[in-house]
Amino acid sequence: MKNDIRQLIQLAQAGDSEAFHQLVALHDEKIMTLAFQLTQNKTDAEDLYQEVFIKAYKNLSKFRFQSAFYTWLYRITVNTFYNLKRSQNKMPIQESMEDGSDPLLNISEESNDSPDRNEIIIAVKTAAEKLPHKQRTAFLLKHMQNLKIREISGIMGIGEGTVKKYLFRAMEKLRIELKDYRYA
Amino acid sequence: MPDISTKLKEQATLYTMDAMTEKERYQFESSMTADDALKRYVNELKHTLSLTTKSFDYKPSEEKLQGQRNLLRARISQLGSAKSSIPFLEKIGQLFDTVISPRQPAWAVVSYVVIAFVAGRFLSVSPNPIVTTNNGFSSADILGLIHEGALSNVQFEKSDGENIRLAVETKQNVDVTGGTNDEIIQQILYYLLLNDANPGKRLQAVSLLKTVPAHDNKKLVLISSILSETNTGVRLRALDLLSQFETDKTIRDACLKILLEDQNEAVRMGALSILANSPSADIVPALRLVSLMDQNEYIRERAVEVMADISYLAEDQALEVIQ
Repeated sequence: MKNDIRQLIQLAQAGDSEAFHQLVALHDEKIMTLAFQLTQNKTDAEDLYQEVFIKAYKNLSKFRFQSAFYTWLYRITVNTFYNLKRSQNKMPIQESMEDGSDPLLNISEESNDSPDRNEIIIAVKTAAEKLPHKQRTAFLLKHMQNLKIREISGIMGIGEGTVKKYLFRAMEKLRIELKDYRYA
Repeated sequence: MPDISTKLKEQATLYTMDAMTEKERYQFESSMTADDALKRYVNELKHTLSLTTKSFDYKPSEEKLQGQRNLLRARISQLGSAKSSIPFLEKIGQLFDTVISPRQPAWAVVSYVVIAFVAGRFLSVSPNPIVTTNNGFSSADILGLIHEGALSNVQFEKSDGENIRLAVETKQNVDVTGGTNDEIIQQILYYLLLNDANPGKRLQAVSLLKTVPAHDNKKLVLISSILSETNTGVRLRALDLLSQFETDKTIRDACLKILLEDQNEAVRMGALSILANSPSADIVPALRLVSLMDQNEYIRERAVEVMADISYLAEDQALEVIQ
């Protein structure tokens, strides 16, 4: 599989766009999942997905096989998300859902959750939104994407010790914020 | 809870998040056995993690991913065509540099100029935009908004047979007016069809796409729409527009998926009509399934008819070979 991916990257770097689309198909589920976890909104996640792969396409020639391809894509995802957040903060507040539904409840594809479950989901999302971006990103990459500390360090461009600090701070805040729901 | 040192809390976080080496884990577990407060703390972290796991868990559907892949293909193909316009002009230049020499007769020079002119006219990738905007916004600004995903509030102001007027709300209101031949207008319509949360706007976008000339980008956007669209009316209109294209493998695969999986019988029927326009032996297994399993009697019968057409076609081809 590793060799296949390497070969696909080399073909794509040589201008074979079909090889690039095969790389997309191999990695996009993880990227879309991370995009949703970062943005907490399906529309924003789709926009982020598109941006990530367009950037990957444009910058593929700069990929030097010094890291795994998926960690390179994760790095682009995280950086693009930060950039989007920065530009959104400069822009006027926009409605995230025009149909009036609450994006906080729009988490699973099938929404047959009980009201209690929805309450917990909202509480978790609210608590997570209070975390600084970097703490939240480190938390999501470790807990939801099951990455190693070393990989997170490479993706976020910070030291392993800093990743551990972020994880601790994020967990401590979540533990306190969610104390009322812990045994629900 | 008695005080636990920050260092132990940090270790507890790494322990619960499975971020310790074997040795660290063993040492931490040893220290935890004699410390009830630490045990409780670890337990709290585990419950907190369990809450977050349930809340953040998300798996995109294959249809959603396929829709996004199709959109990405369309965008990358545009990037490719934008890049290729310059090398093409360079090639024309090289043609003049290498082929035309002072010793060639005048009729040859005229021929090369005519060939270059005709080639340039028909192979140039995109004409100059004829779209008009106000408030100091350029076409490039609009394209930039589309690429950034920041085109969030577009209103259809007016459209007649030739021109479409859109109001784009960004930091200021911008009016965009242009024909359906214009690339910017096409981009906005594609964007609205695939991204807008409001089904009414998606329906307007697909209706206006009817007048957009047929090309690969339009085809890919329509395929993406029929595979990912939730609104039946939009799906039906997108299918109708797709029926105007020659049925190639991409369209056939998308229509087969719709025929086998779509909940709406009118949409399934639309997909079957497209498949019937280009009967091919490789769709027979799916048609056989539909002829037996589809809930709608008319679709079942139509599937049988299409299979019969395919078998007649195969017989005709076999006869042609014998003759």
